Amino acid sequence: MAAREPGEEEEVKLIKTWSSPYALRAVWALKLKGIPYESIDEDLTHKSDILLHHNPVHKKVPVLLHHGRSICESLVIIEYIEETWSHNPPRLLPEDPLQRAETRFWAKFVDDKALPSIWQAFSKEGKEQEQGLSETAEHFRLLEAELKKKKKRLFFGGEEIGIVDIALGWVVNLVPLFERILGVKFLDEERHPALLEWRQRMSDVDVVKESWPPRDKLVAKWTAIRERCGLRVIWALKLKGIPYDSIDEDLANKSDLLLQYNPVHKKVPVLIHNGKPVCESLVILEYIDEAWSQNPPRLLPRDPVQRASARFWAKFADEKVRYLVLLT
Amino acid sequence: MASNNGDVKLIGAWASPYVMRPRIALNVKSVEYEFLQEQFGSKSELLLKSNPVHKKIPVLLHNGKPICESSIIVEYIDEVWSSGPSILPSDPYDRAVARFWAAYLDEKWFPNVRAAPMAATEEAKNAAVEQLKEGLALLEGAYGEKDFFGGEKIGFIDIAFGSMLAWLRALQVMLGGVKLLDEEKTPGLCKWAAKFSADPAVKDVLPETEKIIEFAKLLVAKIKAAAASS
Repeated sequence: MAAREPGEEEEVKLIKTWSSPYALRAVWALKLKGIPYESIDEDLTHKSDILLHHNPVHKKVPVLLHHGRSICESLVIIEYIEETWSHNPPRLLPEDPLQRAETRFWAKFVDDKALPSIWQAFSKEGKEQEQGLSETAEHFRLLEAELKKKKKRLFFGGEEIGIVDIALGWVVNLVPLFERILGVKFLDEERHPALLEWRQRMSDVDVVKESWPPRDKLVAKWTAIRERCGLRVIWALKLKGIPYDSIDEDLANKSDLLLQYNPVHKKVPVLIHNGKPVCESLVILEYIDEAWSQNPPRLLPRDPVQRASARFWAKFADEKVRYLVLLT
Repeated sequence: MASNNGDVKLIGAWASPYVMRPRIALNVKSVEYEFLQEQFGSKSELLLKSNPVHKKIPVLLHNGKPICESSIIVEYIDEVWSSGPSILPSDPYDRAVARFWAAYLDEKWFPNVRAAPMAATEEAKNAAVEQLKEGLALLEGAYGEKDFFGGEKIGFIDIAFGSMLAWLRALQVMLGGVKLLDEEKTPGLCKWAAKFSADPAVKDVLPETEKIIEFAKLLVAKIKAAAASS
């Protein structure tokens, strides 16, 4: 983190993006405590010098600037806000050390487990997606149980919102969105009554209500992310000059055609070549390269060692890039 | 056993760097505790009961109440035994810096320590080693003029990073002498490593490199056997 620069004022600035759920946490914490701040909005495809200077390690948002110094990582920022403006209510963490430890445990659980698993469910296909879905179900089960334990089941923080509620904010706006795009239900009345009540309560908190990123923009963004799997197949077909017909699916109402051609996963994209289906985007790319091996360009190298290397880097990039997209 | 500290037990294992963190922290505070070591390859009833969510070590049991996750345990120790030398700095900004580096080590850096010996291809191994070197360069940059990251005495970052020293040294040997801690590139860290290892709170906790190498071989064999049979 960058050192103090001469002449910087005693004001608070937050480097964020319009859609980052992590940055939203910092926004809520600042607003809840009534701390005035200036927003610096980033476009992560063209990172500003300010961002690179203040978060050279991760180059990510949010970054809080205070007294000319920078604090990175959303949960670390919330703890910093809590300690620096300790007299501003509400308390975001309990006073008792044991309860603080428990609170930190659950906040960390959200970041280490709950978010990665739902991300895996949203962005992957096949076996990996199945794993993401079942792990997410387990994580929501645990969160429901934890919430039920609280005597006044208002918030994870007790009667007022706290760091765990803030950490889980994405459940309020992003989970319904993911449910719609994927055509699955993550939360339901039967298994998660407490969480659903909590979600309603969270969405009624003024600071939360007024800070959401624009919904239609979010829908467009996340739909495009999910469809990226389909996009790479389109690129491959176009690169090779292969004519094709597009069949658009509404994943909330899966067609008989899709269910017939991808009975195992019931997901897109599916390539149908001479009536035979090929599923899973990276598998489809390899298939295209082999079935149309005479059409340049080669998508994969010929040499086995280089092919292994290319597959390694495709997977590596896949995992890295997709996860980074979640943070923007 | 000092009874006004309450009943203090730690569920863990000698080789785990995550377990070393609370052990060092308890030593810093001169708190005696019972070290309940898990058997390699199996999880005790007590562990499963105390950490039902993750079923992992370390778990601190303070007067029967469990606290999980190594960094969270260290913060807890610092807050409960506040009369002892402090582990986290007092200034909120410095605390944020300390927490930032601890999170970085756990999320970005340590996974490569585990990935490197297990790597299936040369490429994967080199990628992991590169990430490790990058991380060490960053830490070298964060290391200041004083003896420790925490200043005159060991602090939160020292404990978070130093707990990985034995594994880091073992890795250098296992990878055929690759220099991760380098006199030329990371002179500060080399100096720090020696000081940290010699600190009274650390000395008996950090295992010898040879012991870790032996243990790592067992672990790698076990993981490979499990993968082969699945």
